[in-house]
Amino acid sequence: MKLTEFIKKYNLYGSIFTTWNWAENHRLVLEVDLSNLNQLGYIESDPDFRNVIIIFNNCYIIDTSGQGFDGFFKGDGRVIADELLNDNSLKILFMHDLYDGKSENLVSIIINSSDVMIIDK
Amino acid sequence: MAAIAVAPPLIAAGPPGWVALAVLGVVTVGISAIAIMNASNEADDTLSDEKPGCTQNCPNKDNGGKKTESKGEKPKEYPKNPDDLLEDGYDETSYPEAEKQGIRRFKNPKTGDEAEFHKGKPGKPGWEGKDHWHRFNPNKTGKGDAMLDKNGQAVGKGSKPSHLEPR
Repeated sequence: MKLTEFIKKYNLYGSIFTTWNWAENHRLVLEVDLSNLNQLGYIESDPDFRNVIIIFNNCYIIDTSGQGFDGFFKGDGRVIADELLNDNSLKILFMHDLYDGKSENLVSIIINSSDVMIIDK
Repeated sequence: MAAIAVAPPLIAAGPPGWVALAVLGVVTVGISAIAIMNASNEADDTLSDEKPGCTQNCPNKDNGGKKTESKGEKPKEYPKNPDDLLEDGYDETSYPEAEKQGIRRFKNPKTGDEAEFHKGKPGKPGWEGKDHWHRFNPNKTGKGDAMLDKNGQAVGKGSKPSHLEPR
């Protein structure tokens, strides 16, 4: 699906990126604890999160915070804001936590992608 | 005990013995009464007749008898206006880019308490549409205990109890 459709269907706010993987052919594969609390249609009996995998195809990212961010191997990322910039560009702000005794670090990126798949178990 | 031991021979001795036994009995009762009174007076000096005192979570006579919470148990509340934290001695540690999104961060240099304010965005679902706070666990080990609920208990990052409504 296109990013526009993805953003209408899923709200990333409050979700947690738990793993970040670059796959072949410029595919970005994210394992995500999707925040049910922030989805349309959430009901009180839903669990707070559900595990999903999001795959951005033909993807490259721009680190707008200038830290040279290209992914992470440790910790996780808590999404605090997202904004669709155009049909192929999604800006995401998340707090990267390494659990090393320090505070979270803000990461600001633009994900450019032709289309996105979501595996919603 | 001595009166009981000498009772049989005195009874056997006839009337003079009976008189002696009666005198001995009166003296024994008198001595016992004095001993009991002394013991009672001693107990009054060392033990209080009041009910046992309260040692934990005691009603406070100064606040109308309401239960007093010990430090750390009082539910934590953050203000509707995040600027109020600055007056309470907190430092602002916001990232400018996050602040543009209505997300501000504060830390109390004295207590170490660290919290993040999220301004609700009208029309957004769930907590994104409501003002709320998150409070961080200084002893976090992972996403499962990264935040604190209103009672200071470790809870999962972004979990329902990690969302604190402003007071």
